[in-house]
Amino acid sequence: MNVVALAFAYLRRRWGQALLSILVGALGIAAVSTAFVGLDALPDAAERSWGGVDLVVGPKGSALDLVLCCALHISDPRGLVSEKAAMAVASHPLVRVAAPIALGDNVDGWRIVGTTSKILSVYRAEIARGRMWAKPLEAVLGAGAAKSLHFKIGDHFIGAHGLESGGEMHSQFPYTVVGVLAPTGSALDRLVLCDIETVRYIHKMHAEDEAAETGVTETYVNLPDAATAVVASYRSPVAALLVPRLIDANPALSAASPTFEIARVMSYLRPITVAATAMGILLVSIAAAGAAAGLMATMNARTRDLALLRVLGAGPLSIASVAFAEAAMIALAALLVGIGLSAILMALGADVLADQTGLLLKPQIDIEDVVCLVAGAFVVAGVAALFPAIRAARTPMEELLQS
Amino acid sequence: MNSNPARTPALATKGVILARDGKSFARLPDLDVRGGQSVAVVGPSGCGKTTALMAIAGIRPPQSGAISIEGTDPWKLRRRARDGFRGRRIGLVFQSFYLVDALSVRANIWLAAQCAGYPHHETRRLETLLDRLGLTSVKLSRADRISHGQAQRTAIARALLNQPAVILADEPTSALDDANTETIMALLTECAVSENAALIVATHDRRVLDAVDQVVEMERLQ
Repeated sequence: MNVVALAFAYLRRRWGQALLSILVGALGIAAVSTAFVGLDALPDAAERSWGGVDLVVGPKGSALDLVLCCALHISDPRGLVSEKAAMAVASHPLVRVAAPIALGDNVDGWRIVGTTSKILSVYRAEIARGRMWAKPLEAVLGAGAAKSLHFKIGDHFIGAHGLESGGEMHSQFPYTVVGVLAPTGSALDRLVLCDIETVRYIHKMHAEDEAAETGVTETYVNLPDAATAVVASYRSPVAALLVPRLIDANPALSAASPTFEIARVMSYLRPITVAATAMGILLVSIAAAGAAAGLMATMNARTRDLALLRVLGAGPLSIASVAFAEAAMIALAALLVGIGLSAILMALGADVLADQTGLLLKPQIDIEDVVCLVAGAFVVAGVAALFPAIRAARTPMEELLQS
Repeated sequence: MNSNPARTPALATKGVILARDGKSFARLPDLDVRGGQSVAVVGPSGCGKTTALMAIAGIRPPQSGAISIEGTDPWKLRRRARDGFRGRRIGLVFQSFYLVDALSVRANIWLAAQCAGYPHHETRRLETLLDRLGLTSVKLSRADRISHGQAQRTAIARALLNQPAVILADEPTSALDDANTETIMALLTECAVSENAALIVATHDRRVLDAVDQVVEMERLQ
């Protein structure tokens, strides 16, 4: 007996009910797969974003803030440090390269970062077009920033105060674009780089103007070598054990490891994964219960057909397999729709995340997760079809001839 | 077992007593029907005609007696083997046709082959039957979208597909007018002859009697 064709014909007959089971099941599968794949992809996205930065040296305070501000370039800085002091502790033999960064301005919301040419070595970045800055007010754009700002080599722009667009314009200090970096996939792509002295000078001028108006003197005036932080890349993983301890011993400095801090954040997010998975399992269970009830009802309505199949020579197992085939088809459709839905959700989520944080979510399909998901869906379908299948297999043939 | 088809009757019954609720209530007259012959089993409603067909088809066991289809007693086979035997050697035509509404005419007929375990059945025979019974034009139509006559012919085609030794028809004409009764009986007897199958018609319809070779009456038991 062609069980699949018969099961498909029956499903087509009750398409509304089948569609409902498929949709509810698909929602559950989408919730589970999005939770698994999406939250697995988040640490990878963060790791891509911080690029080669193994260590951030900044002022005392929250290590997570330092990472978010100076490695991922998502949040605002919490204070300043002396470049000389920070570079002194960061220049350990186990540190491959270190570069100071100074934040404070933006162009249309894209961060202007004062630094040194060593930043390219930290991120293993290269100039794609033009050259590195050679004098103050020359800028090199990250690949993403250049693309979005539509700046070409030789273009001029004005920076604005603060890290978000809308701040006071530093109109007397026009920048010139002299280079564009090759894409790295890291936060560097979203930055506008220039010489650190340029940022210090502009902020010193700004701070003096403010002081003249308000009588309050900003740090940039008092600390000639002010920097937001120093970012560094290790020569050896052993450095992760030694260097942060040395830095934390300094009363003015704090060390932060992006790897450690993001792992900490992910541990806080774990309950979300559990909740999303539980919600998904609940939805899948509702779909299975709906499919089971639907199958049971149709088996009762199909007594005559099932008895006919028995009379025509089909064994109880063949008859039972019609119910299993119907449930399997619902499961397969729910899987396909659910995975499609999950892909759409993740694409939308990735867009929002990229917009809000610059993190590039690249979900990786893990074959083990896929196998678990597929096996889980079919096991649930099998359980849902069990009682209807037994009911079908026990259909007495006499019913046909006696009705 | 089916050693010499020329001498072995397609259907033979001997001393078949039928029971209801554990009590014997009817006796099927002994039958010896060759391929191509037709027999009407008659009697009033409730006299055990349908129960007799169920016994011959291996669906409900008789209380006693022997049934032989081409030399094989279906009640001596194990359940699974009996199901398969019924599918391959017995064609059933029901009063209400019992087509699967979800399937096409072609798929309904094809079910007989598939349920009997012929997954790679020769499709030429199916096409021949469709053509012979005038169903080619509706072969892809769903069973619930065809006329009464087409449904009747579909049910007959399904019964004939596996070239059965015995065709059992349960009250095939009870809801039909005279013209249709004549048509359906002509079709059934003609098919029995052409397929060399024994045709057993259980009926209380006296109009059928002229169309068959032999008439036997169910015997009521006290």
